[in-house]
Amino acid sequence: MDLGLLNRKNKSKNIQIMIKTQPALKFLLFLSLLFPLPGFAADGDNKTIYVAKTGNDANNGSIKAPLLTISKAENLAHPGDRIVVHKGIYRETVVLNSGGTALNSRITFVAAPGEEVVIKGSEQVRSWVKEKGRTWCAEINESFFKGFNPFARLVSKDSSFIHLGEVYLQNKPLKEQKDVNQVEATQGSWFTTQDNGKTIIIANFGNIDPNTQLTEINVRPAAFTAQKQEVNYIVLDGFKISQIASPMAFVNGEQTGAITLNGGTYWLIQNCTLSDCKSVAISIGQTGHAYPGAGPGKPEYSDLSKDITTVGHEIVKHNHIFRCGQAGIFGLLHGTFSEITNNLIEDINSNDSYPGEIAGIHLVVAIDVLIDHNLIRSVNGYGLFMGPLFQGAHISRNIITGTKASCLYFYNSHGPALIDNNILAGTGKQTGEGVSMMSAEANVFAQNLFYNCGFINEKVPGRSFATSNYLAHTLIIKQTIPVLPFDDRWYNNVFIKDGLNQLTPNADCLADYNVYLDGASGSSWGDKLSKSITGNTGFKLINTAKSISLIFNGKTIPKITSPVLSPEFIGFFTLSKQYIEYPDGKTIAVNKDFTGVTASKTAKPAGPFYQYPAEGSKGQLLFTY
Amino acid sequence: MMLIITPVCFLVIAQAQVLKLDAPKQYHPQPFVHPGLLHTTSDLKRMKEMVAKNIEPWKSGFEVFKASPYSSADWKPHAVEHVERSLLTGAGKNIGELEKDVCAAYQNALMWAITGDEAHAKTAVAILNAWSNTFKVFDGTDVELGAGLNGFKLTSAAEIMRTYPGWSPAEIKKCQAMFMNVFYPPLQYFALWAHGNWDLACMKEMMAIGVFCDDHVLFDRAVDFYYKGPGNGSLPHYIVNESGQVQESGRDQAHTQLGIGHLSEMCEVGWSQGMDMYSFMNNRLLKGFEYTAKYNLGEDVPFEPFTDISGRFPASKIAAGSRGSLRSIYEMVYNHYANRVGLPADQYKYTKMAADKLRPEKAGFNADNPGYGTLLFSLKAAN
Repeated sequence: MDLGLLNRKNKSKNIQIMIKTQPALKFLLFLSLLFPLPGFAADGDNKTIYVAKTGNDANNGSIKAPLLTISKAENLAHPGDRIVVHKGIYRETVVLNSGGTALNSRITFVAAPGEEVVIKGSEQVRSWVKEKGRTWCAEINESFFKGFNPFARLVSKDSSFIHLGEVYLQNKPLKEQKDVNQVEATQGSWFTTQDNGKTIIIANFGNIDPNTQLTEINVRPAAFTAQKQEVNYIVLDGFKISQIASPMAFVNGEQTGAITLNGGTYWLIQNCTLSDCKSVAISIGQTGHAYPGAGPGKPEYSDLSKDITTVGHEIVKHNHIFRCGQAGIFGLLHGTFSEITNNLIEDINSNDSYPGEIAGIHLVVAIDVLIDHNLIRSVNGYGLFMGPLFQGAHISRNIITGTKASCLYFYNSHGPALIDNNILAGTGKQTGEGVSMMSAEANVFAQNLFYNCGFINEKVPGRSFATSNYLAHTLIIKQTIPVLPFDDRWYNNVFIKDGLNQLTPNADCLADYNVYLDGASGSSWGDKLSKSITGNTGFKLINTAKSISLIFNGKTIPKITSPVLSPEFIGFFTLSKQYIEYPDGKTIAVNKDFTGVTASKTAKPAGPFYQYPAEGSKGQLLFTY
Repeated sequence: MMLIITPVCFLVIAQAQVLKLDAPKQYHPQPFVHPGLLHTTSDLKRMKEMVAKNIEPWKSGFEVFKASPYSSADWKPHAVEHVERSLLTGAGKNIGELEKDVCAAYQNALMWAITGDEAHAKTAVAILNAWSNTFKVFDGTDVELGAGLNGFKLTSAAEIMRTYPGWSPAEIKKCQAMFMNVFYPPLQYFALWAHGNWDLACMKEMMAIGVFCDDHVLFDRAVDFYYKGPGNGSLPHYIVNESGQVQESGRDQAHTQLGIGHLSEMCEVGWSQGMDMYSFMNNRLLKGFEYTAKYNLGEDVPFEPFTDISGRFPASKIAAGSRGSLRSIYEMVYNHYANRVGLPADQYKYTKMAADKLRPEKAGFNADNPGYGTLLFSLKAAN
């Protein structure tokens, strides 16, 4: 039965289908348009399309006759449809040609409940030829790569020898070598070169015969990718995505990832695992460009959309991203009005081979973004890189630890931004990094726990052009003037080992009601009512595969009576003409702690917990994936 | 979104750029003089008398004033509900309507005071009432400027017209409500992050609303800013040294003249209310005028590399942009220091030269400054 003539571009259920099929089928189809066939779960006009490894793309995608590829299901889907994918490994890039039309009319891709659905960017290679010593050689024709050969592309012009390509043995990546001679010497490594139109890979698998084990190379740049801008209202739920040769993403250029939104809006990406993405795992950005000659009359980013309803509104929640090169989540503009919550992002650039700026999350022009309760750890780069332009950002209850550079890196913004109830374990005295503000103004830090964090607050040196701020909760640029490193507030934080004494004295910042422990010292320009205690807090973060807990001697934190952190107390920010506010304009009072408990008395411990667990307990569970 | 905050709620901060507003001292606890913005009863009487007698320089000053389309009693208002001033986005809904109407209201009010022709009174009141009944929302990226500049002219018109019996108390009250509810909220935080002319637009209209609405809190707040506000708009922050260098001298000459014009207008309003703001810091205002006039008349002035109080606008040399384009701001200041105060002539030499060059002073630029200084502010007959 061949329905293969369904026109890919024309998705309307119309007479075109009927014309091209056999009469009997024609009749059945006609009926099915009026009365849904059994096997199609239909909800009004919405249907569910099934995909399975036992399927066939010539099928109709019903529960009993599933399709074989997710891409085929994508072709058939209309706004409001669900695509349910059964267990197995799918080696394809799903190109999204169009999206849903509204929140109640999305196109949903979901892994069948309880089933492991894996989308790999790799293909198996079983044609290894043993060479001398422990090296094996594979010669791969260009046609194998279908137009995109990661082994012929360097990650960037700065990356010396590191290619987009990766070799995997039993789902673990091997290490690329600069020189073929290093392969023999290093177990679990490989080298590549081009020879006469073929890709040559020399690899060392130890004692293992790669042809008998799962040996793969990455060949595809994305698992899901929007084919053009304006693919909106997509749901991706429950997939395991791995081994993706995503090219480097550029703030001023293309922004590809294992999931590439290409500027799409109102996406929901949840419950997915993304690993071994060469560069970015989830790119919520749109293609950017440079702004030569930008100035106050013609600001950077002033050509972006001014209508906030057509931008961002992504939800990225409860995803596990690990072992990627450049960033877990990256993007220009569409962090605006988005929510990034409950994600575990770890092992970014762990092998230290990725060139350029690395971060767990890296967002540019992310107005009113909510970044809440994420665990970012083991990043060979920045934890959270914000900027330029993140006015209205709300960064709350995140745990950031094990970063090589600053946990929080804020670059170029007039603010205000609220940073509350986070637990940040920095690199401290070694690098002086922990919280770095570079021309970032009006940041409110409340109820955070800073362990071993350096603090930097500076104007970006040599940066002559001005920075924009927006009319609150819009993308309408209000002013473009230079940023100054002031108007910050630091209230009710706990500082362990290092404190605000590192900041340049600044009469235009405020700090008070903080607690400084274990050698940390407060600011000379504030902290009149803050407390400084010696004594060992016993601070420790305990990591497991999917969780992190905090061990802490809560008794060492004195209670402090501080004013209620109401919006009026925190203050009105006259440049951006707003208080700390939610995206809907409602003002924010910082009156809840990390666990969600509401403050009932004004005398409470500083930091993210109004109550600390009893001494000797297993500690406070901060995050479980 | 309208925010009206009483002074006590403001956060108290050390200095500079975070807005600190303790309740300022009471600069004018006694009732305000009405009319008492740029023109008191005796000012209006003077203009009326001199024009009637065809005495120069008012005669020529009046001729240019009368010829302006905004002085015509035929003017019809075009009031709207929503005005947006947004230069950057290039949009700016209805800002042109407001700008023209406020000029027409102000000039018709003056025409009535000078000529006694009731047609002008009716026109002025019609414009005031139209906006009072219609105007609801003022926003946009540059709303501080829109509300400040246009508001000042409209408030000035209202202050003159309050003595016209044909403008009822109920209508006056509605007009006051418009100033408090539509014009005032965008100004209330000043503009600490901007060049001084922004603060000054906020300050001068806040002061004017204070007078017109008999709101001493607003009046005091604006005047306090003149003396010691944390932004670029205060006198010491705007005219930055004894040479008379202006905060925006390194930006361009149009904005510089705009700003010192605003400062002088505040001083004139203060004078109407019996205060001497003109002499603050040893006639620092005059020094700013001398410096600016001298440079724009083609002579060199000393410039010290300077970073403003906001820290955002460092300037290393004087800006030649718009040099030589004298704005209609000099007559008022010249007349004050020469004829009211009687300073030695060398102290106002260049201000006088600029005024002489322009006489009779023509319109202000859009709604920026009142203009027509020869008619409005001359105090002495020409020889």
